[in-house]
Amino acid sequence: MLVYERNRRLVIPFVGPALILYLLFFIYPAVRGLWYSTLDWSGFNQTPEFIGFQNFIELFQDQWFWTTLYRTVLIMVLGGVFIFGLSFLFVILLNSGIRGKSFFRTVIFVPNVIAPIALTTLWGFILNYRFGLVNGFLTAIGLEEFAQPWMGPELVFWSMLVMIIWTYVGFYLVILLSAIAKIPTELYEVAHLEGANPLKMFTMITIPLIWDVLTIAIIYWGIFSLKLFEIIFSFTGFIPKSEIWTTPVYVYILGFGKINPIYRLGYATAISLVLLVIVMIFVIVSRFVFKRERIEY
Amino acid sequence: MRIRHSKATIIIAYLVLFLWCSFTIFALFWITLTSLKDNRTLFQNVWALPQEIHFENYELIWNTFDIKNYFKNSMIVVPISVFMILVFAAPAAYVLSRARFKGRNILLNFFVIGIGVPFVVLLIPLYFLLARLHIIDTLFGLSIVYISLSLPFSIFLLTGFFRSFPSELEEAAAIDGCRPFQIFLKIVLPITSPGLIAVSIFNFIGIWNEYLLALILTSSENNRVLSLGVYAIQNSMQYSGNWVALFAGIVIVFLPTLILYIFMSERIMESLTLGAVKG
Repeated sequence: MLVYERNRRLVIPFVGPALILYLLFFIYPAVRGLWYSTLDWSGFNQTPEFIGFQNFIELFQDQWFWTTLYRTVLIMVLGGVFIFGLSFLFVILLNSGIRGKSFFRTVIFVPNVIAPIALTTLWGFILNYRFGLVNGFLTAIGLEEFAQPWMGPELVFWSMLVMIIWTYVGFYLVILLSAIAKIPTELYEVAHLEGANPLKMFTMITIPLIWDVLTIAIIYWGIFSLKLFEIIFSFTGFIPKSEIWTTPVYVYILGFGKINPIYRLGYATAISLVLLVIVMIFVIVSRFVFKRERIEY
Repeated sequence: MRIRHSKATIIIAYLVLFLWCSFTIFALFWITLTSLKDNRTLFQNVWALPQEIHFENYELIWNTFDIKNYFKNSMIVVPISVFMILVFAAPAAYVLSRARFKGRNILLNFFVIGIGVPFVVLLIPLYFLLARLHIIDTLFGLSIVYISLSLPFSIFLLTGFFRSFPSELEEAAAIDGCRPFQIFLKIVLPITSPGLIAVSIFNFIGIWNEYLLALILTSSENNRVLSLGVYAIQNSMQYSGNWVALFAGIVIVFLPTLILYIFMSERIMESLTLGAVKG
């Protein structure tokens, strides 16, 4: 690109504005957050008190921190497994010669455009013990004894996980679908002629050839799932039940908790920083683990 | 995989897909139908069709619950933010995709890293930053935050997209004496408009549905955006119990994005694969 190689003057006016906004409203607050995490502060009446690393020491012993972190990671791992598993399943189903592929894909993706509050209200009704669809259906087919309090303390987290999986399958389906569509069908035909079974074709053709896209998708899900907030926060309505608290929700409640105003801003920021570090570690480790030679075809 | 399509596979495929999709479609219909019921009949049989249509739920929620204000706020904040994201991100992505200069990759990565930052980290500092700039609890402040926080992902997508375009036209124009900014406006933007539109739709949906930042950065009722407004109504459920009104609010929240999606689904799918699937 000869013109622009020499024209370094372009960089400032073109990238400058974005850079300024980014620095001012993104990087600067992030760095400030580092400072806030060393404070003991309720943000309003109290003057902040510097306590160094005490917030961090405290969080390591905080039962809530570990529980919520565990749940957050659980959503990432279990959710990821099911979401990608289902996505691949749907890719196979959609590619098996049916008609209306576009239609199905469109419908499966729909939950991704609907506001989380709509989804959580919907599922709240579906899973309701007394008049929910699930229990109603079970009763109707005579399996009344299997009707459970899906939103009760024991099952609510898993119910939420189901909702999360249902919502985001479509997103990864679309990505995988278009990546797989780019694989020349001749490869499969040749493999078939040479006697390969579907599983072999999957692992030796499909996966390697969509590796770039697959790893980006996995990393994106990892980041996305660790940040997940709205859909979790509104799942049990009003204030989320403590059984579904994940790290971002816990941070919010610590900092802005409405029921028992706790307003532990410094502590909350410290926890959010730990979350950030975890995200970063995940990204770095993933990129390292997923590294491979580019396959040209 | 066009090798063999056994009848059995196809039947199973239709079955599974049909089951999954009918559930989703049913869910959307049910939400809409419920918004037209009244509370008594709703709880008599939650899943039945409404006997009478109660359009007044919408009137109630629009006026008494103030949704019309929240809707107006969203219609201000979201389109403006989406447009401004393009204004900031497109030139940046263009240069970052074309120019080769020392530190270009570092700069690009600097932006892209932002994708991994959970918003909760920024909540508290942003609150105080906006307060000090006297733009806390304003739609303007909220918009600026939305724009800034969307830059990483948008730049990421757009850079990937721009990279896939050959640069001959721009070179030809440059040789003809066009200045870079003209080239950008008159040649690059028109050609890449599908990608710009795709990214904008993606941003529109994200910001329209967002409420965490809105929750923190706006406090007065006048400044609530729609998604936040519906969340607030859900909160008030514990006092009012007016579920059908809540559903009317929910329909108002998801209808625009649903309509946008139905008309633009191809573009939306494109925007996902812009940065990820190259070539």
